[in-house]
Amino acid sequence: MVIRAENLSYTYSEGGPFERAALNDVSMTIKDGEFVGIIGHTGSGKSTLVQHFNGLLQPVSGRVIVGDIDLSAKKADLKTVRTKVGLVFQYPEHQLFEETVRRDIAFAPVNMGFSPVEVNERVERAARLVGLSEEILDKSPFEISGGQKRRAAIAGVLAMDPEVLVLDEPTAGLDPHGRKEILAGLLKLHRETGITVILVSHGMEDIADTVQRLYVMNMGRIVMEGTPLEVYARYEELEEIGLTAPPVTKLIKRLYGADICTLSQAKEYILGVIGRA
Amino acid sequence: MIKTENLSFKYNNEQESLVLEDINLTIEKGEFVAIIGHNGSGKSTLVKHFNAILLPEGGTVYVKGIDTRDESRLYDIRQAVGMVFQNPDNQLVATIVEDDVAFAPENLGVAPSEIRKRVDRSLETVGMSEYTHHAPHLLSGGQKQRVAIAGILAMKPDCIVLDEPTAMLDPIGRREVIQTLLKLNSEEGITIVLVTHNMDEAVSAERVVVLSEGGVEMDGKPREIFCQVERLKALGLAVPQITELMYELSREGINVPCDILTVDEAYNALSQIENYNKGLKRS
Repeated sequence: MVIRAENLSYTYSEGGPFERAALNDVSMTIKDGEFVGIIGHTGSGKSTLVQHFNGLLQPVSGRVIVGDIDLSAKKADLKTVRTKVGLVFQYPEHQLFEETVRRDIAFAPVNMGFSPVEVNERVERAARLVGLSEEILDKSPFEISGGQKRRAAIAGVLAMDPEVLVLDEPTAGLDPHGRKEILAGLLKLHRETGITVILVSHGMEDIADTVQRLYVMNMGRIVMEGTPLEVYARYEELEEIGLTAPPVTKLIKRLYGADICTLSQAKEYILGVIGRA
Repeated sequence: MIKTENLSFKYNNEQESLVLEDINLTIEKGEFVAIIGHNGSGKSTLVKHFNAILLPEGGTVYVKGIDTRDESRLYDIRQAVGMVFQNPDNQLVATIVEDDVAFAPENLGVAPSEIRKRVDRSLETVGMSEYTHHAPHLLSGGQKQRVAIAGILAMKPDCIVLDEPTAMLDPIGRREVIQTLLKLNSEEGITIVLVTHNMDEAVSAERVVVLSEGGVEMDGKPREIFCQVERLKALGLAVPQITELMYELSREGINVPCDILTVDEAYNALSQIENYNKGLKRS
């Protein structure tokens, strides 16, 4: 399912005293099955952008097209779009509300009108995809760890069986172990199901290892686009707009003038230059 | 400044294992201590004992020599040790920045003219003077956290405890907060206790305490702690990316020191090796 934004602009409280332009002439195409990152500092427009992808926000001008549905059309079937494009918000664990993890994950498929058997199948599949055990499914969402809560919330979206999964800062506030768990889980999910994944982030070093392609946002515009390698190589420009590149990128650039963006690439490069002792 | 003696704690009696077990920790006046540990290791529970939000189940906690169980001294304890939490949106109470900063001294019964002075000075210290009359909810996350810090400074504390103050901030906000803390520590001599998951932040402290399963697992200078890459990984923690790279290289037989924490240090170490190799080729 292709997601396309064409000259998309959005303004909060248009015409009101707090009017603020949040997106300015954004055009992008995310292909079926891609794993894409969108990075930018707070207020750069990332979250506003992805909320257009399932019609939560409507463009002030321009268009958003998901598959073959133009979301700005008057009669656009937003209900269908919202089951196809699953949006995981920031701190999604705050939205867990049921008595058990199982019932929480079942919420969407139950409301979509599936039979109990189908609901159960979907819950089990979603839980398996995020790596939650049977035992955890029967616990209360309040009894499990932060990383587990986060995965339960993601499973709740996956239970709709969406074709596109959008996650807004899915690792914020987790410890390094929890972060690794979530990102490794997303990579596995992407590999196994071929689902399109869109990851919104402040752009710390762990995203370089994860995504295939990156968009960089600043002040409501897309200012860079490319592979993590292409984007992080321009780390001086990134720092100007309040983002950071992985420390190893800076090190290799200063030492050898070369571009890398992950730890293993840095290691290979240094070994290649220095040779083994 | 803060001392725990055989501190143990659990949240309720149904819990089988202790959240904190037999912790002996002394934080000296003027120190900058980072506390790291995976989720559920007891970090937040520990620091909530530092200003009597929680009271020990077993053992004793002293703040400036006062037993935190002494209810009659609660105000003294809370005035000496201020606390900043993770979520910038949950801790600002007023509708104007200066009112928020004035909240604590007003409640402590400080004279109005003195409050004025403290508010102005606190906002200046955290670099937020120009926002004195702004509404807090329109500030960025990093600015909100700095206002929260100013609110504590206005109590004239000896120590500030911050529980993951940067977890919800972007890189700019993080930098703003950490630089503010470094300044408070070096210029005002305020003791800083920083709970964090960000290893690059822990590096800016002079001492790192590693918690695991409710006990103190490691305690030392950042350099001593972070060169123990395998041990930290076994505890579910990360090391700064540069330190990890050096560790990986040394495992491949490259002779680099393992206690390297920054890009500059790594640059120097690797340039030296390259120069040495060139020298070998020439001779």
